[in-house]
Amino acid sequence: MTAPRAGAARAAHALDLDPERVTNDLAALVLTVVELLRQLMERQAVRRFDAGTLSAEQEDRLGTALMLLDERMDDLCAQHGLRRSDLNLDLGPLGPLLADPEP
Amino acid sequence: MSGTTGAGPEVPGIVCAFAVTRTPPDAAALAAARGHEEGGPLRLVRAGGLCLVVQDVPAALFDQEALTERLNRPGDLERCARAHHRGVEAAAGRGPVVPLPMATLYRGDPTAARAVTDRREALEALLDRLRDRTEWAVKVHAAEAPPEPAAEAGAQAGTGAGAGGRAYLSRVSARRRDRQGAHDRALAEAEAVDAELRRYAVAATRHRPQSERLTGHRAPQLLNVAYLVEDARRAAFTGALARIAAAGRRPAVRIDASGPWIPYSFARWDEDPRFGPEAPAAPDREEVRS
Repeated sequence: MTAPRAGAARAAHALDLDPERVTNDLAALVLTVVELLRQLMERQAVRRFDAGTLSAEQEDRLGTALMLLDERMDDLCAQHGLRRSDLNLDLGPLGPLLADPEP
Repeated sequence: MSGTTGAGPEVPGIVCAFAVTRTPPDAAALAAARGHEEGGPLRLVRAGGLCLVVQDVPAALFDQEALTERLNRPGDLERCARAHHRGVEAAAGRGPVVPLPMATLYRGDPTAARAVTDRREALEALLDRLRDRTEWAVKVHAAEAPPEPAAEAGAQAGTGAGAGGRAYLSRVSARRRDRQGAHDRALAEAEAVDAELRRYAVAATRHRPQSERLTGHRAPQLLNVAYLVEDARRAAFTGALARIAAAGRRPAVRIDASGPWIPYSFARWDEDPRFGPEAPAAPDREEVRS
């Protein structure tokens, strides 16, 4: 058994507490979740679009909303100095969280 | 846990074990090799007709807590992996080896020797299986997509087709179809590559594809396979590899291969002796008492 003090010192050493980085990592995490939802919505919309179950007006409204959301994501990413491809989580054996990361 | 824990009489030191072999490596070669930088010189522990290459390591750095923490740091993990590989290579000088998992630790030589004798049958079978065979690692990635879709989308927007919501949906739909098609093609090619290479290998085992962060490639890794190749078939295997990887043969994938390696992927000595698809019938099943 090592002395507890030595253990604590090493643990503290392993933590990165740079406030800038912590904020940025949090932003990346939040944007990842938002991007996941956006992709899910977009996928569902495309599925219905492909199936032809939407009226022309619905298609237009849905498409416009998704397009704006997509642009907004670009803005948010730019604000935090992130690229879309940064927004992903490696879920180990389950693969990446976002199936189709934007380039 | 205050202070007095280490005061027990003659606490055996920690030994780190690298590999088991039948053929003791040349003493000079062993002395020249370096295991973990923090530990002593490499040496042999004999156990029931087999040799175990070990090294004494300081307990303070290799107890469970310290080790777990060190292995969580990429830099230390790499140093540890390289040290382990050096130890295994040193053991492999004269004949087949069974490399042990990285950071296989025992309390003292007798414990290490017992671990080997207890599994002697499995180890003997593995040594027979790995003799004159090497491992080849093949990683297949999807070919990195050329960045043309974006340019194409821009061009469409210029012609007026890209403005409305419907146009956006149809663009996304087309992009999704393209991507799915490309992925399916790449996956099919990866499977074809694997099927072809398996014809020249004794055994193959699939590892989990590595993440893009680890590989540094933007394209996903589709296949991460280790092949066990007979030395006599090595030329045939590398020939097949070269044929497959030749430009244009498999446009949807990129193939990276490396080898020959010590067959780490086929030396799972702690699993029960079903070593995969073509496990050899264990030769002369002798019971060992020593």
